Amino acid sequence: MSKIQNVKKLLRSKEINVRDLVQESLLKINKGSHNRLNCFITLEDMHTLDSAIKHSQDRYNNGTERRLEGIPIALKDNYTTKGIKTTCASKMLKDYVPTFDSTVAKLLKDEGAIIIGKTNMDEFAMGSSSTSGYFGSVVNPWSEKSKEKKELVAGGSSGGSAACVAADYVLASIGSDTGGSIRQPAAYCGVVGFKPSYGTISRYGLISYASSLDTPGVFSKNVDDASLLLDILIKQDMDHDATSISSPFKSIDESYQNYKKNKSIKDLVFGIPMDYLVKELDQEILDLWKKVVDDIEAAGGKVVPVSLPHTKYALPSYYLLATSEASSNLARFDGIRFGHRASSSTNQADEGWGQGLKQMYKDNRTEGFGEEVKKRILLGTMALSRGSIDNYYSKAQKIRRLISQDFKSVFKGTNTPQDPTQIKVDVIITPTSPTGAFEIDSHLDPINMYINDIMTIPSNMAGVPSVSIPLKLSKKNNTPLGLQLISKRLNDDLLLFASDLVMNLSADKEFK
Amino acid sequence: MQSLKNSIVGLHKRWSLLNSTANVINRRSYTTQQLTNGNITHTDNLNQCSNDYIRDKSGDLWELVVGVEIHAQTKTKEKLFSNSANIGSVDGLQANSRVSFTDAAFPGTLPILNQSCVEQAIKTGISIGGEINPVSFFDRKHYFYQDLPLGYQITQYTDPIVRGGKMILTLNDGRQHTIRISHIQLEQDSGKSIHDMHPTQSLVDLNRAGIGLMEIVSHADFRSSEQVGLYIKKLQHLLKHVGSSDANMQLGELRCDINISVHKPNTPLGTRVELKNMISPKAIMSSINAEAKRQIQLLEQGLPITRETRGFNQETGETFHMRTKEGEVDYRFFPEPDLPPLVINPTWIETIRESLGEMPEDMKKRIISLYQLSDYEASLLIEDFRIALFFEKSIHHNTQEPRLAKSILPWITRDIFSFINDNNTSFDQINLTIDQFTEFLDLIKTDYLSPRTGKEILSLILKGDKRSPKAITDALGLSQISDDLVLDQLCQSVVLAHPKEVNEYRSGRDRVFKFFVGEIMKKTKGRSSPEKVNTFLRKYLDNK
Repeated sequence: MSKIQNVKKLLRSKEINVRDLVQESLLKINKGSHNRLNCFITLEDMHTLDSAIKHSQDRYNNGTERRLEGIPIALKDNYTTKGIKTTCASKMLKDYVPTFDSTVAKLLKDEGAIIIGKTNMDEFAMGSSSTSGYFGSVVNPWSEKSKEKKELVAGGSSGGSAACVAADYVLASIGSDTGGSIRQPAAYCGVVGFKPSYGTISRYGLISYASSLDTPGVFSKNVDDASLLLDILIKQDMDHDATSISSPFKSIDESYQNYKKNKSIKDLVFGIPMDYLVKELDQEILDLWKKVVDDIEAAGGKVVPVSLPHTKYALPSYYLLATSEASSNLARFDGIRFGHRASSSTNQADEGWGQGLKQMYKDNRTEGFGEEVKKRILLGTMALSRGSIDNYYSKAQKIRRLISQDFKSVFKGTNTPQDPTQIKVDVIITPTSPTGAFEIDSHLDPINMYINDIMTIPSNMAGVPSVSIPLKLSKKNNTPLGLQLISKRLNDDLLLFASDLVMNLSADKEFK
Repeated sequence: MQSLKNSIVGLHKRWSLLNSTANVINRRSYTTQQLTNGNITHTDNLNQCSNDYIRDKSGDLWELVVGVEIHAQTKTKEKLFSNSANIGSVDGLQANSRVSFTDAAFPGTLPILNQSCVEQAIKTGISIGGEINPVSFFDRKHYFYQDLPLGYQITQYTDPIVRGGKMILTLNDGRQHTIRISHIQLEQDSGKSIHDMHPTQSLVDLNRAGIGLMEIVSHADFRSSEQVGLYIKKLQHLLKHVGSSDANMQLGELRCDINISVHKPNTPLGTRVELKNMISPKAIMSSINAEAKRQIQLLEQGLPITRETRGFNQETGETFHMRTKEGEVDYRFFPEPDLPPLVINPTWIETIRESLGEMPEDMKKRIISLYQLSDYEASLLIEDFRIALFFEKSIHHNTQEPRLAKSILPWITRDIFSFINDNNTSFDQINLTIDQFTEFLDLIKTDYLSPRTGKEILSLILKGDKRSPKAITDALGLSQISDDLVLDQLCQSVVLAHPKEVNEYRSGRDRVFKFFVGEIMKKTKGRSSPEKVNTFLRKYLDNK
């Protein structure tokens, strides 16, 4: 099943070579016009990639190829890459060239991956549509196939990474997920988007939005490829990230393969949280959700209703916590050591002691940040301010704990009110988002925009692994629809297994 | 108290302290507990505590209330959250040459806690008798400034690493006063802003940014500038003793913020003012005196005290306005999400406790009782615990019979100390081995070396002579003439050679005896034992 393994086999057998593979990828990206879907903020070319291509080809020639040798991979533009511009889709960092590699970039390179570009996103990963960035909107590759042929959003904030896998530019890409930024664009673009347990992949070099929620993760066409990438990226990084943990599985891929060999759907219990049945839910997605339940039961799997009662508080508390942390994390962008320096601020000495400095901060940040970022910095600053922290930040933290306990009791089997047997649930199934991809210029008001994250946010709050898998095409618009699977913290291997089962069981042939 | 009196009386004649008879009452009935149990408006104790009050011209009493925050840089190789070098106070390094991506807050960097800094904070906590919190947390404190790259300082706001502790001060008049310590928090130092090197720009040096600081916060238990001075010196001594900080104020390794207010006893506390940027204990004491005076003058005129931060001008001896607290930013403290809780294993604390050995106060008590030293002598020795240990070792080193403490002490407290002071060095840098020193002591004891020439020999060794004291003595021909027969004959010949002086002596002029001693010393170049010279001279002068 693994597409990466198949391509590697072709490279090994010399049916194709690394140069052609990379070339083909770049040609696809630029087909029609340069960077046609605006997936990339920075795109490498054959010249800049030349030595990496040669090196990879040499390794194939002498049989020392590594796990991603010569495979083109795209990286979201909030991961630092040494010598390659990293902008976070912000004017603030539009010319910023990092001096060090993020751990994610380093691990990929160490396995021979060829980073062909940095993908477009919402500015500083704040958004659900990849339309808020300084470099414009990402276009969903399904737009052309959709019935109305209008430009659709790719979702966000990792829209570029999701779109470039959906468009077959690359076999896999890297995103980051703070409140759904991998899973929601995966659903909109019809690819697998996996957000592992918080702390399993190092955040070093991932430019922080909300530290306690930010989770690196992967996009791919199938679960096998996701598993391979996770196997490379899940590694404790004690020297660089204090929130990085050691994982219980020695190799997640091995563990996933063992599940596939030794277990079947009959060994799993699936939970359906009624709390996710929100009024905004699209009928087609509801139907898909029901169909998957039927499919699982028909295949001999067990499905039970579960209760996650604090879900309804997740959205407001998320927007308080994430913005609070963001207001703090983004304080370093002052334009002094790096980043945007407003031209009006160069000579302010005549304004008196300290006034020049204050004005410089104001000018740099007012000009450097976009509207959504400013909105969130203001909201977070308010939530942490002396008069508000008790009512906002602190309350939200308490709600976060309750949400986390909701998940724990479901996975422990102590919270399934409609089921007297109090059965232990392995995997929760929900929609990924209430709707499919919407039109790029549909001008949603902020609240409607935030509601897009309603299904994905609880997993970030609890730090549990969750994944969006593509299953169907909307009859209405011929665009992808996906579901979300969630498992117990650090059961990422089991979650991979369940995702693979459900895809095999219920996915349309487009997604197999 | 003396210095407060001097400065207040000296600058403005209308200020005076209560008369000294109060001191007598004090020593008898003063207890620390009454002052420091948190109830600081204690009319009951008015008489007992009276010499901690200031009396103005109209006869009103004022009480000084001071709290002290000390920032001490941790003595560690690396910074608190990065692996760049902690250069502490080293001057002359190129600006921004010891800065990692983390220190400069480059996008994507994260803090990693340096265990050695934690260890130093634990050492400090133990040494002040504080509780080490098994779980503590880091918080972010936000403000924008050019030398604060993150836009926030990582500090410990709600649950610091050390809670409680105390310091008992022995005041100059002999009373004891306890200062309670609220807590110690670990936090990052900021960079340095340099405003005087460019006409229109501020320069920033981030070499200091991110160095670990232990902020030691006292309760407002100080009632005089003397107490503050003693506290700072004692804390400096303690930090150096346990090795957690070099604590040099001139070099900025230890900095001190003072919160100061005055009020009349039995009235609510006054508005407090913060004093910053003083560079020595002496400057701190002067600034407190000056600020107390300023506040009392204002209050006497019916003027309010403004909450503000003030600096101290050493030349004018006055404090000056730096900034008002009203314009203070909201720091928006919240838990640092990049760092998990700091969990400290109790066995680690115990290991550190054991490794610390004896605290200065305990050492002092022990050597006083063990070697019958005076409080003063013991205080001198423990000023540098390595000296105290050297002293103890010299009692037993290479000998069955312990050497007498009294015979050792003067050599240390007089000769060695003055050498250290004169050469501006420290004990661990001087050339004196325990073998040399004890051999030296034994040469004196056996009269091989007279104390007078001994001074010279010791001085030579301290200056770097690596030979044994005996070798030096012999090489210079300075050994004492201990052959009694030679000395006896010499005395006889001197007496016979001066009949006139002999007659004067015998007619009752005792002073002439010194003349004969002088003659012998001249002839022996000082190498004769004074007692023996006395005995032989008396023999020939008196027995005729």
